[in-house]
Amino acid sequence: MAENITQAEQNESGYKEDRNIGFAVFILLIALTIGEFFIGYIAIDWNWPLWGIAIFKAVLIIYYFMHVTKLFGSSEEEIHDDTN
Amino acid sequence: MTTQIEAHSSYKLKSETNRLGLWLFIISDAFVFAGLLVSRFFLFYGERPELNQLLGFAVTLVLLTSSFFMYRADTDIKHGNVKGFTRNILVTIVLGILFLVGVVGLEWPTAPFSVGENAMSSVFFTMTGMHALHVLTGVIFLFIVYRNGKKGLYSQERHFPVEGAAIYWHFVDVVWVFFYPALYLMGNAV
Repeated sequence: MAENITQAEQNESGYKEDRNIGFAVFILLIALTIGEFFIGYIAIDWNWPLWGIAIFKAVLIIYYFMHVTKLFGSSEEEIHDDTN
Repeated sequence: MTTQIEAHSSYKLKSETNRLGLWLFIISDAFVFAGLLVSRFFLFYGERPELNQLLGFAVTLVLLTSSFFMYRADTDIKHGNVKGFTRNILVTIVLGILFLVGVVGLEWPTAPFSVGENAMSSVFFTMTGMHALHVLTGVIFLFIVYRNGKKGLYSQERHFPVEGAAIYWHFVDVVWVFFYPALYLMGNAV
């Protein structure tokens, strides 16, 4: 019983953590997009920083939202392997 | 109990295979968009079309926000929150439609050229059109997943279609992450 409660608590804290990570990444993506907009507005020929920001944003989405590491089996396993 | 374990591991194995196949498709599709991006810079390197900057910025924010809600839907179903999942996926669908309205309904009619007028217009309409088509496909796919979710077909243990829809949706977002600066921000407006 106590073990079950601990598992439920772990699940709950993992859920909160996942949601917080998602929110932090989202805020960062919005901030980068705002920065991108102003760079494009101010500097006409300043392409490299824009490329840098775009690549960074893509990496954030691919890593945190698309969970690319699951492909290699190294990411968080399904948190509820409770059938074992 | 043994049958349950076997069914679970069989589903996990299937999901792993499906995930690999989906990524293979995503990578091959990415080459199409990369080709369009290269043609944009090859045909008009230091120039960009004179587009509505605020609209471009707004639709970008809409798509990023939709990606966030998709992430939440994916996280919700992973943790067994079916109600949260259906709510968040519905928000994603609405935002996806809003993006389409912004690009196809507002940007296209006000673009400073018509389809096929010159190389710039061809590239612009091909890039945004191809992307919009992917968004439309994503919206349809998300709607199917939403309906299946409402029917109770997904659970904490079995939800690969949700993960697949999420990966596809985020991919569409990644494409726009490159298309937005390439079309709206880089080069002199002509």
